[in-house]
Amino acid sequence: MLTGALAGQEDVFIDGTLEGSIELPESDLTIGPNGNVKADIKARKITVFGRVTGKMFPAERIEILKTATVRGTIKTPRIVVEEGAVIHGKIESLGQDLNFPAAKKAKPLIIRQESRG
Amino acid sequence: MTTANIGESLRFEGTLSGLEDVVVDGEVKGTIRLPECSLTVGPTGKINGDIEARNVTVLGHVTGNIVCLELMRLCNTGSIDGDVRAPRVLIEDGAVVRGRIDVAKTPPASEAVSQTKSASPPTQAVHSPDS
Repeated sequence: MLTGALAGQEDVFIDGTLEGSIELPESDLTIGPNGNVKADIKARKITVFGRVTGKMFPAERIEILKTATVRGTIKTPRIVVEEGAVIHGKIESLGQDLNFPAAKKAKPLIIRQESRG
Repeated sequence: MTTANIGESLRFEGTLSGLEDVVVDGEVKGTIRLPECSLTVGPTGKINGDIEARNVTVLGHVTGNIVCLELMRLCNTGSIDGDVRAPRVLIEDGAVVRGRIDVAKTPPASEAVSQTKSASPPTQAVHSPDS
């Protein structure tokens, strides 16, 4: 369990519990099937397999997969929701790409259940 | 079940209800109630009003609240300005959404549609305790 503010410039995979805030303006955030995140999230791209509660501001897109449960507000240029996903919240999606420079790919930081902050 | 088609050059104002699937390629202003059937809003279709239907597929534009009893599908060309309540929701990449989405089991809530006309979202009524 992590509590606090996570910020940085590398891709992050969270498969544990995190409460606080996440700021990865140039990187991708993936919330794994065991992930449980209560946070306001800023990231380039957000992919959700698990549970998220909070405000989500992806700079490019958010993908909500069929195993996901999402509660909160989403403001995004693009959104994809798979059939089966549970959503309760307000969505504002323009359906268009904004022009952001492509971020370089690096190895993602992985936060699992057993991680200690 | 037969399918009715509101063609591209047609404009309809009023309440549309019935027991057959409907494809709207034209313009509908008013309420659509097809609690046992499917509504497809084609790529040229425009709806201004509230919708209640078993399945809703949107390739065009909807301004209004949608209560869907089964599957709500928003395709990549589609846009929704309004609140959606449906037990299953699918949104394709490129779709435009402005409003609340509540994935929840929906009772055949014809009342919900008529009440929400006046602005307040139909979101308080059903909240499945899914934790």
